[in-house]
Amino acid sequence: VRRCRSPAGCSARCSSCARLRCPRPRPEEAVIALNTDRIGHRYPTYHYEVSREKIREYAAATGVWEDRYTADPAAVPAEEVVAPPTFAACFTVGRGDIFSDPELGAHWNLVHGSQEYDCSRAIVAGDLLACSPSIVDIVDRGKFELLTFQIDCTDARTGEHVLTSRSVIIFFKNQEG
Amino acid sequence: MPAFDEVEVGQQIPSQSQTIEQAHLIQYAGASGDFNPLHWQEEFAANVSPTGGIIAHGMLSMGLVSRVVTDWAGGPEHVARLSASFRAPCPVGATLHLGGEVTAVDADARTATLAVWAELDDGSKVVDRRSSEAVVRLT
Repeated sequence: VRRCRSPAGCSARCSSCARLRCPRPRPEEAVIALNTDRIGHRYPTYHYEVSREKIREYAAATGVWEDRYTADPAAVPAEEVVAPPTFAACFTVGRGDIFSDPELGAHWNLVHGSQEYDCSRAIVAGDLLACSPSIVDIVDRGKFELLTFQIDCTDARTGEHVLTSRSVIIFFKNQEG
Repeated sequence: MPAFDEVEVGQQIPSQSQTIEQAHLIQYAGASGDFNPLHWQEEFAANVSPTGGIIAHGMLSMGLVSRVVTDWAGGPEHVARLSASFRAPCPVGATLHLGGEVTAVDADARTATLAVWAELDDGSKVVDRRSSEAVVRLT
């Protein structure tokens, strides 16, 4: 039986599954469930300014050593400090506005399922990126749910596409989080 | 970086291995801003971790896979796409074996597609090569 996941519960007709009498979860199996009404929701665009220091920190944390990361900043122009491909994790994975969205119902009993980055160009120090998050999908897999969200990042100065991040987060149900 | 004409399907790129210590997770948490206690607090991890213990950030494994790719490609500016499917958890103290293999070349776009992976000693797929890939722009 597909359980209605509307956090508000169901009255005459369920807004989530559109059934007249939808099976609510019994109290003893009260689930922490995401709200599928949020599929397609777009969050406000936020901006991220890429700093040379953050690139250096991130590169070091993933064991990437290049002279341009550790060189004297006066000797290497910012645009030559090219971030590692997964640097975008700093501003795309675990974005606060998705995880703190009371309508979505995210919680901390989760693991990262998969991650994709499609890059039109590499990120460099000094970039100002305009990032637009949206919920792509929420799929119920029984003991867990899969949340897919996407963040499109463009150059805030030129409008050109820089990268698209797509994350799948696995939320476990029926456990303390 | 490798020349496009020298890249062939089936070719493996130089592999790397790295043992993941708690200090790596702390450093990664600070650098990325991902402070999920699953990666540093034993009591929390005992309740929710798939292993019952602290596990590495998926993105740390992906970052290390990324390093193997960029070391081969000659820098991060050559990577057009990177995807990682996190199948198995990586516990603290485990050694990750990181690698990649060319699965396709596109003569028009002058790109190479690689299956990439991060695996434990027992073959557990932390980053699963069957659904993780990199696309590298070559000249």
